Amino acid sequence: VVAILVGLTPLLGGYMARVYQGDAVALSRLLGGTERRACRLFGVASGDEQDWKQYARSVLLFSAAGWLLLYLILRTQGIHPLNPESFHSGPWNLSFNTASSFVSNTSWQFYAGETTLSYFSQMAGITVASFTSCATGMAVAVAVIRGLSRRGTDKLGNFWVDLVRSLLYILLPLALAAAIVLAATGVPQTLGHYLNARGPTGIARTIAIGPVASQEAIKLISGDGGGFFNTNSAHPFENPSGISNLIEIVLMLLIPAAMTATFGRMIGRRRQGWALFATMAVMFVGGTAVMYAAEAHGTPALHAAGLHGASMEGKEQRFGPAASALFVSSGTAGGDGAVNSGVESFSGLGAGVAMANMMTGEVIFGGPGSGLYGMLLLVVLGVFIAGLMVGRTPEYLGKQIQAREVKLASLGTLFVPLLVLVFGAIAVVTAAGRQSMLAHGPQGLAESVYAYLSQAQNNGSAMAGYTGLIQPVAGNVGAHGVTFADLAGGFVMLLGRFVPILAVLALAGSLGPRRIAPHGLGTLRTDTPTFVVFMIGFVAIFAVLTFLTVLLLGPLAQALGSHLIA
Amino acid sequence: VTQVTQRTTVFTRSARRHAFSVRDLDDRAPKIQCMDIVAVLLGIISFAILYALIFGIDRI
Repeated sequence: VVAILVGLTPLLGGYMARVYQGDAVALSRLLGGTERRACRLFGVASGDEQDWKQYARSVLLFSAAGWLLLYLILRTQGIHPLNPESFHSGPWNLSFNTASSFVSNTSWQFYAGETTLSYFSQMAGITVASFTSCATGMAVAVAVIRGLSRRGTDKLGNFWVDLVRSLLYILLPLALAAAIVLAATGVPQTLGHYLNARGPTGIARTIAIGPVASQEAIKLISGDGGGFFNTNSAHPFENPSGISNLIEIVLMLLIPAAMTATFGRMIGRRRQGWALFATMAVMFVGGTAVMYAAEAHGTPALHAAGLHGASMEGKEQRFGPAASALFVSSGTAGGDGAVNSGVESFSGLGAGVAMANMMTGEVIFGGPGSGLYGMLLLVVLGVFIAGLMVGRTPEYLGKQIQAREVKLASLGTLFVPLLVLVFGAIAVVTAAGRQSMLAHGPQGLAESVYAYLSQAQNNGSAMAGYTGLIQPVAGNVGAHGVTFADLAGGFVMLLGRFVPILAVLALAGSLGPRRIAPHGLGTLRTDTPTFVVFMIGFVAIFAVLTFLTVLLLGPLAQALGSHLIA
Repeated sequence: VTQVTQRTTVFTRSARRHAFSVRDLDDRAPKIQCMDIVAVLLGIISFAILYALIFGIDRI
């Protein structure tokens, strides 16, 4: 996977850099008119640029409008077309959570798609939100790159232009191609009714189908991860084979990896982009190796029960421990959150790696755009600390890092862990929070903290036990949400997405006007293997120091225990 | 086993759903409840807080 990414990163990253710099690309002739009309629709004249506050306002206004539209779609589902199974609307609190989830590029799902959402809601609601929330994150990352590379101006570009270009030239073509490839591997794409069939034992079954390939493509590319089916990419209609499994893994990591090359090209220093890529890739490989080892060799509890060899609970026979660990590691290191196996059934250590991936701040590739700007926030802090350690002036890309930038980077990196720990604690100590938990003991703590960690970091993967919806029958008749879990999760996702965005845009706005100092003997090099090793250590220590206690009491206690059920 | 059980449950529920699937449009029409107003207000308040935060962050 890393080799494929190494090959594709400069190609796609270079293409994206040309798109964002306004250069002509192969699709310009075909889509240039649409781009101009879309920009006019948003009231953007050619050359209009925004400072960080104007850019941030545009991000919030666009996202708020998207939130409202998605909530309305979900709550009026019963009267929409393309509802062959006649589903009713989901409850209000579930819809609050779902709208917040997809607008924040999280795709946390308290619902099962095939028993809750109509085709219209899946296509016009979920799929559209996946496109727009992803494009929002990419636009913010590009604005941050401009802040780091420009001099003498506080302008970061124009959000609406970056949004339209992300959608038209990058996401739509990629999603179209990916949907066709996935359909070719066996993923269904239809608007027909669910199928009725009898299983081998003669029991009547309803087999859910639908426009899966089109949603699956953007689910993976966008870093959203919200599956058409409840079991996500463990479902054979979302992920039919080993080939589709590999394609899906690459799709999850493709744009986040390519953003490092886009960064390198736009600042005119490609080695800086490769240094970020190397930092991410080494952590990804290390985490995946630990997760695989944990899943391939069982746990003390399984050994005590006489079960030896790989732990296959919660895993598809088609994929086994290796492809399951690789997929889940990719889904949690990348910001996508798609899974092809049940994380609740993973060993304590395996689930702990999934949590640790998110605890780094979703910077091991991370989401499209958000992975890059999250890493840049940590780089600013790392450069500041490294500068203090070796007695160099803290600067990055020739721009001096001062007190304001350090405060903004601290806000952007520490706010989300604070959200996770506060809401995770409330969830396990209050009766309202505990009604969502399935397991008790270390597993119960792990699944609760995992829920708020995944939501706050906008990942969206889940340990299956934590619930926010009670659904007696498919189609939402008599369904009701768990208000605490739905509302708390909704707030956590919105704050976890947009507070770091505001902080990083302010940081870019602060660095934009600053002059670029020439490279000298006293400059701390940030494009060397030494700096890569330093950043890996810095990110790991940052995550461990913030979350050590909960990692020990949750997944690691589970990993060391000899009871199968805690 | 857990996953298989969960999936079986989903499909069993899906089969049961046919008892509810033949309903006229009036029955499925959305009924705007006071909790919808609460949810929309909560969403608007969330974004309003974030909007106000722009000015707070600018003072750092």
